[in-house]
Amino acid sequence: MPISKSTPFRMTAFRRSIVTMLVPSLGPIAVFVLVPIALTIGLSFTKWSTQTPFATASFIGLDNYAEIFSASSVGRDFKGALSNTALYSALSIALLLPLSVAFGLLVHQARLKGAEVLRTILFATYMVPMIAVALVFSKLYSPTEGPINQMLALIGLPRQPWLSSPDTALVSIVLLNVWQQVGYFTILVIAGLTQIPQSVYDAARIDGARGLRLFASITLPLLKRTLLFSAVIALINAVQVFEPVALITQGGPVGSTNVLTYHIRRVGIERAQGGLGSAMSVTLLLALVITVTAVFAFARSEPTGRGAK
Amino acid sequence: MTNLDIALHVKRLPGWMVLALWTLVVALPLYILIVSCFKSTAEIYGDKFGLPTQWTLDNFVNAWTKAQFARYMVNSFLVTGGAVALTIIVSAMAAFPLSRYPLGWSSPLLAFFLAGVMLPIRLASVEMFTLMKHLDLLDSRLGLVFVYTAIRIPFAVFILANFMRVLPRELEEAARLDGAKEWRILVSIIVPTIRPAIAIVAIFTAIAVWNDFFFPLIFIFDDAYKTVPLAITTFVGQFRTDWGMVFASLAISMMPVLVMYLLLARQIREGVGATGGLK
Repeated sequence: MPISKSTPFRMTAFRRSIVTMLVPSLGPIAVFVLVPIALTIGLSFTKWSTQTPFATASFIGLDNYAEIFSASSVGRDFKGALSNTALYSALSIALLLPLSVAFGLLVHQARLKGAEVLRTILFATYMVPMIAVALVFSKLYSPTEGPINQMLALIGLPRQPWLSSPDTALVSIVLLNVWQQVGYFTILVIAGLTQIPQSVYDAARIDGARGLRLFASITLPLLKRTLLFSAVIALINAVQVFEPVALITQGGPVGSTNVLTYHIRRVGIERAQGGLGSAMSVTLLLALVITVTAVFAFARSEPTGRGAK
Repeated sequence: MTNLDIALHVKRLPGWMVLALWTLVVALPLYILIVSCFKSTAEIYGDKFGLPTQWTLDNFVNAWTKAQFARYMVNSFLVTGGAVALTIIVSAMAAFPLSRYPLGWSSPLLAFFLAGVMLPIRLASVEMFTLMKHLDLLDSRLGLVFVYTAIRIPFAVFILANFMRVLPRELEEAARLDGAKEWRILVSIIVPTIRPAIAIVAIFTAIAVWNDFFFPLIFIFDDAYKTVPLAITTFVGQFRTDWGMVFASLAISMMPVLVMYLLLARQIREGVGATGGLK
């Protein structure tokens, strides 16, 4: 290794160059990601109006947490938003992962000229801005004249109220999000699939493995790392969902799509209750850390990767 | 064609049907988006889904002239261009020592970058708003560039480091024997060989930044600094929404990203295929 042969003087110059190479990327992350998160944690224990500087915050211990978990209207709204976010995240992941694996396998196996077109089609939705997706889907979902309900009627299924009912609004938002995101996760799956050597499949085929067996005993376990990564990214994206809610439903009907990012912005910025909003953020952050840790622990406890999901 | 070949093709049929179905699912909203650009607003209200009875380019003209669209486009170009360039530069600088040197302290570093990608930063939007106010970066395109760069760095570092890790050592050793400095090696040897990775980082960063309206919504209040997505949301909020113009502006706003994707498509394909660099 050339580095170890360097003289002490060159070592320090070398070290200096490493530091100068790392600081420009670590600096922005520290200032614009870690500092705001640290501030959020700190301010969650204070009474602080967002319209005033950080210095005006006064320490009130766990009062904010007590309030957001109380039976008051603040607590009710928060718990509603938390469960909406949880449901939204669970549904998104449950749809995105299997779909992206299915599409990834199909495109990967196609190995034809068509594969490139397919990949572009899949990726196309990812390039469409969320505003466009939200506007078009709010028209597609129209209960009376929307094409989705017309198609449902055509195949004899009952019409759905979609965005206009508290029972179906959140699911409708999940679906338009899946429509937009699945291409991105498919690209991740394809990248994972290209890393599985063909020889592994050939060997298994010689042993007589076919079809589903091949998928369950080779593809899925070897795709475990990719899927784990996808699941975590999907989860982190899902808990931060904001655009479709802000653009189409504004949290309604009857608070059924009031997700936490939207709710925190309303409490923390519009009502200027910074401390209260921060306590909400920290609660979700804790829930997220626990979930991600659990997912990784679960994945590690199954070394064969049978349960890879 | 043998029987086996035919059997193989028949077996693949369900797969093709699934993909064809998905293509339809993708195409329907895109179709509505595109035809709506060429309809008058009255027609969009009347017949939402048919072809326009009279194709018109008025919406595009309106978007460009009445709505000061050019100004928003310039803002978006500055913010996106700045964020993409800055992200690539600082991430390549970080990825180089992380992937090519045996750094003893590389795992806390890795944790630092992981924290950057794992922390749901939007949850801290209230504090970010106040922080930006303290830093005098509200209503500032530069402020947006900094925030986007900070958020996109981890992803970029992971991809670039993954590509750099698999490059052969001989590549830089000859240069190092010739007395080349680390910077020279990075700029003139490493960077040119990982162009597919840079293309991937560029397109993903550009899409995320170009289409985002969350941070402009929080940080930008002055109309002069609004980016395209934020500006379009204000068209929708207005007294009587001119839907034709809204859809035309959306179509215009998608063009730059589309062109960039087409220009980089070959590089991206190579990159995704080569080392599974997206992991």
